[in-house]
Amino acid sequence: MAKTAERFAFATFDVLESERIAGPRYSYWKSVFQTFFKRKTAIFWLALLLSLTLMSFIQPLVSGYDPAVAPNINTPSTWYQKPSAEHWFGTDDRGNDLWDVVWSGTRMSLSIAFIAAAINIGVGILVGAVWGYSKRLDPILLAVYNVVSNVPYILRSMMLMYIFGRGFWQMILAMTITGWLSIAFFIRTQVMIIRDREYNLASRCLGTPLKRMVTRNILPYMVSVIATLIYQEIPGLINTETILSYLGIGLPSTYPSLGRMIDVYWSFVDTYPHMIVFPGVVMGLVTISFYVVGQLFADASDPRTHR
Amino acid sequence: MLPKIANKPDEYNDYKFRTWEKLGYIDYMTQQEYAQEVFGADSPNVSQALLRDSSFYEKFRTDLSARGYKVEALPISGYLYATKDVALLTRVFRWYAKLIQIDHPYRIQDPNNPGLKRGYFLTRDWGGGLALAASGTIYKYQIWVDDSFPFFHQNIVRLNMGRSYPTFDGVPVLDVISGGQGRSARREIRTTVRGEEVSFFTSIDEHSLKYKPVLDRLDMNKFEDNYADGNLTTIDPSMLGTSFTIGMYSLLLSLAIGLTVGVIAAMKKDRIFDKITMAYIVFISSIPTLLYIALFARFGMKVLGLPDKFPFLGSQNILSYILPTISLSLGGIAGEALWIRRYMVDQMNADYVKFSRSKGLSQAEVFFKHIVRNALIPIVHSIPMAVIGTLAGALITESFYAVPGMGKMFPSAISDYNNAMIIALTFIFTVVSILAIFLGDILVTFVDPRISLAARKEAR
Repeated sequence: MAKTAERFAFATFDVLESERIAGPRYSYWKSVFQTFFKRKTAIFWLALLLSLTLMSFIQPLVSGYDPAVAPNINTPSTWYQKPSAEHWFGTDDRGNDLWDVVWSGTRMSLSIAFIAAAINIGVGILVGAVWGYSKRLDPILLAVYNVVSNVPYILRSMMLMYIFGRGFWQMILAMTITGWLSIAFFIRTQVMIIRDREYNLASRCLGTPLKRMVTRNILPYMVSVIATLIYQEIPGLINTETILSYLGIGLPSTYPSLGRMIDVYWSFVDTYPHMIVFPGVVMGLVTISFYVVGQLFADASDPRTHR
Repeated sequence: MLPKIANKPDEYNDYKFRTWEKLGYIDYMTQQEYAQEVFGADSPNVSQALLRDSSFYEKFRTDLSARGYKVEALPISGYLYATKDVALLTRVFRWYAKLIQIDHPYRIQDPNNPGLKRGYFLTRDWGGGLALAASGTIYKYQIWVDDSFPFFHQNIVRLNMGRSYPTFDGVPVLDVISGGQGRSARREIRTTVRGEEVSFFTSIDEHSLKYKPVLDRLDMNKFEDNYADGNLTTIDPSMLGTSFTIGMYSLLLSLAIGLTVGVIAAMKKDRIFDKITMAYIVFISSIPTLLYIALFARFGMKVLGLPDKFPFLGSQNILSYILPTISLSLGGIAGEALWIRRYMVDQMNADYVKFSRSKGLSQAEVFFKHIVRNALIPIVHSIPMAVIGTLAGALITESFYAVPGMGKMFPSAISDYNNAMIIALTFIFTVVSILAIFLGDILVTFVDPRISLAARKEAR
């Protein structure tokens, strides 16, 4: 008997431990990343996306390229050079190294897209979440939405650019002043669908405050919806930037950007195709990688795909 | 215009304020105009009022200040003028107030022509077509029929959206958009004027004939009445017509190709055709519109040998239209294919599909009689919106291919600061899109009998 008492000890009842055993081991974010990284294509596109983004934010710091300064403008031998070991992407019509130009342009376009997307999506989600929940706010915002959304987005941003004038922050303002509305409307509809589900009804009966309902019950449900929004928004905003800059009402000529590059270099497309091929390829890769990574992440963040 | 008067401060000043007044931004009154208003146009007091020591200066100052005008003096001559900013809301109100213009036989009030006949009559135009004409109206031809779309035309109700400035200076905005372009087209006309057979060459479009107060000899040789002021017929279609042609064909193309490709991809899910379709959709929806249009233009030019700028061959050659039309439909093809593929894949496990399969329907019957029919409902709903999509997409396509259409007009109006044009185009695009949403709602009730727009009596 004494031996038994030596070997065994009475366990105390641990509430936390019993919870852990009873519930299945499931962490949402861990499963998201597991599902995401299981696909080789996802890893490939993510690596490409990260390297392109890092490159475009680091390289311009090193090169110090400024479109207002053209040091080789008076040395015609440096103009129109084909790609070589020295100039990987060749040089343009003013002797600038295209490698530098392309990365500063990408940085500019990405910065605009990132800032505008952050504002649009941030404001859109916040307003949309409240909009979907508040029955008093709904008719007012719906009226605003109906009026604004009847004008196509690109027309709206062109009108606003015309009013504000050309420039970096003007462009972001033009993209965001009405850009959040369609996102808010989309979120509103999603919130309305989820709002009246049983678990939310129960939660409301238990007296959960509105803020907690929105942030804890509804928003996590919509991670994949939000991921979808982000991956469509960023290439979309890059698209808007290129259109505005190409039409000559976007960024002024002292800013490098992908849209401006297509605009400026297009006249050389027959004689020096490298000047249009490299910006085009980088632009295509950046937008496609954003789109594909976003799409795969949105798939992975849907709990129904988790095993 | 401006360089000529730039070094004449008085004229420059007057031109500036008159232009702003014409565009509706200010109210403008000169000393002479006010004197004419006070004393009557032909009164000798008017020239008295402009003399240097006249007491009219003080009167002008006090009267117009009282009306809320700002009174200033011209730099050289010292004559006074007064300006008043028009408030934004007033400008909006005035724009709408003069938007709809209705023509009627008492519209023209010409003191030099008191015997002007008033009333409607049936006649034949130069082409021999039947037309309802009128006298006393602004336009001679009120209603007529011809062989150009939409076949039935009228001049009774016309929209007035202001005049274009500084490009197409002075031309009504709608005439810029809907009037022909290019050089004028002359043709021989045989008609009778005052009982005499005449024949002459002209490029006047007789349907646009307007009242002209003073006729010259040439007019007398061609026209019986005072309606002698017409627009010119031109060889190229209008901006509106060009955009409409390209937009409609590209919409048809994107529906035909997009739906076919989407249905095939869904039927062969995860096979090679499906993968290529998905790759195409990702490519088109992710990369900037400009990039794929540019890429396609190079392909069309190098491989197919088509012109990559519209004006190379002009509007008369069908080859000019091919690349812009296909470019415009590339995005639509991706959109339609994505939608119908996703819908069909989702529906393949729906209960009604399983049921119809267990009834013994073949795969093709299940697809085309059940799934596609259901999938088409939202597509029909979105067709009118797609028309607007082509309008907005046409902005970049038309700019890229230099197509003389509405889409190109908008950015060029912006870079030219042509405010009247910008306002009119935004108004048109917006009205068209509202109509399209409305039309979509109506169309869908025809396709789907379950949807009813009328409010039901019984409670849900």
